[in-house]
Amino acid sequence: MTFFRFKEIQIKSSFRTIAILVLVGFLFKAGITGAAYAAGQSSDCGMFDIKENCMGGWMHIILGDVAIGALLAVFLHVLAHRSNLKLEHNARTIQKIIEMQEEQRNRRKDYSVFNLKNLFTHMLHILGQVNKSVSNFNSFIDSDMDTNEIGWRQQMMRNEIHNEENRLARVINTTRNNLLAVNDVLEPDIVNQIEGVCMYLSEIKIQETPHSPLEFPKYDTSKKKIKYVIEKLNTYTVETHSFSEKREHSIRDNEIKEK
Amino acid sequence: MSESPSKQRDYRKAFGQLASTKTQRIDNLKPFEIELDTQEDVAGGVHTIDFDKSDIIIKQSGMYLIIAAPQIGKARGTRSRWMDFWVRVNNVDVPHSNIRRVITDSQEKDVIGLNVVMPLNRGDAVNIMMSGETEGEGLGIEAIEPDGEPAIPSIIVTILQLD
Repeated sequence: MTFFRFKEIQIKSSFRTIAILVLVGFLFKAGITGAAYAAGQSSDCGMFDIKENCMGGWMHIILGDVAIGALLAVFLHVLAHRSNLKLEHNARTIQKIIEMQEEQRNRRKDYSVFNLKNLFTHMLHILGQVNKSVSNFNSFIDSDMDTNEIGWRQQMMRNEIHNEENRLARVINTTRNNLLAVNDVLEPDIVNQIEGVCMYLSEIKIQETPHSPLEFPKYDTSKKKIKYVIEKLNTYTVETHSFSEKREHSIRDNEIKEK
Repeated sequence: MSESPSKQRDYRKAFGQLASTKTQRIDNLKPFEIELDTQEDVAGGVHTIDFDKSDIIIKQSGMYLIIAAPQIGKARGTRSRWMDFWVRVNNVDVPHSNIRRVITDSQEKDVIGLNVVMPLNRGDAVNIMMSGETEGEGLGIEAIEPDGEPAIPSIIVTILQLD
């Protein structure tokens, strides 16, 4: 039972109680005053008489206070019924809104995980490209060619590497922006892990020093970090909209088996 | 600690003891990542913490205690010079993790302790950083090989998962 349904039932029963209390109160009051009035009657006027200048005590109660009490009770009951209907309607609407928001949240989470997985796979691909370009560049230095051609080709390769680096930077930015947009639906540890990887990758630059080959530092670590994130994202299931812990254990078990 | 079906040790909490057997001296005034080259024996199990040169790579998310103990010294000069050591995670310096030692002459050797407790995620790369006041006096961490004793690594780093 939801909280709203419980609240609704509570409110309904309290309205009923109030109505009954009002009715009982009226009857009680009417009984006391009526009896008192009846006790003070002259002997000419009977208890149930309705005549000119004479109304019996009990008739006074029945026609006066009881009838008013009954009318008030009916009136209160109608009011309670109406407000109950309104409450029921509101509760249903609120429930619907909550369900819709939950569904929307799940859809956003599903999409964000899918999107992040794509972005990290893309990053891995670009990292591989940069590494390959760097090793091409370094192997090219040793080749036998005339100086002009070497210079021209090196410049081309540098540009290519630079472009790849820029591409990587753009993908990292996109990942960060996406992460910012979905940090309310993703678990904080996943957000931290991804932010850590983005931070790490954004600080890596190709190092070039005179008379020494180009160096792409921390390529292996970067690759490993991205693979960890992809592994984690792969544990996500759309059935439960959550990351499963079991998969992480099985990853560890696989590592043990591999060893 | 429990035994896995393949009779290999499976450690539930991550731990690692890493060290460097190389002397590493500061050759410029930029922060310097200390390289590591040895890791503890895990008695047939799997290392729960990886390393790749200067990067210590965390394989399990959790709260960690990091202890680093560099063996510091200098090669020449007689002026007092400072050296700083701190922790960097994912290329970002960890606040309040820095420590400083001032060293005067080349005969002076010391080990200083660096402790940090912090949450780390799977895949995080931890670095122990070093920087010094000057680049010309061979400030740095020194590995020493005394006769008839175990070698003294230039740094020992211990990492323990707490939760």
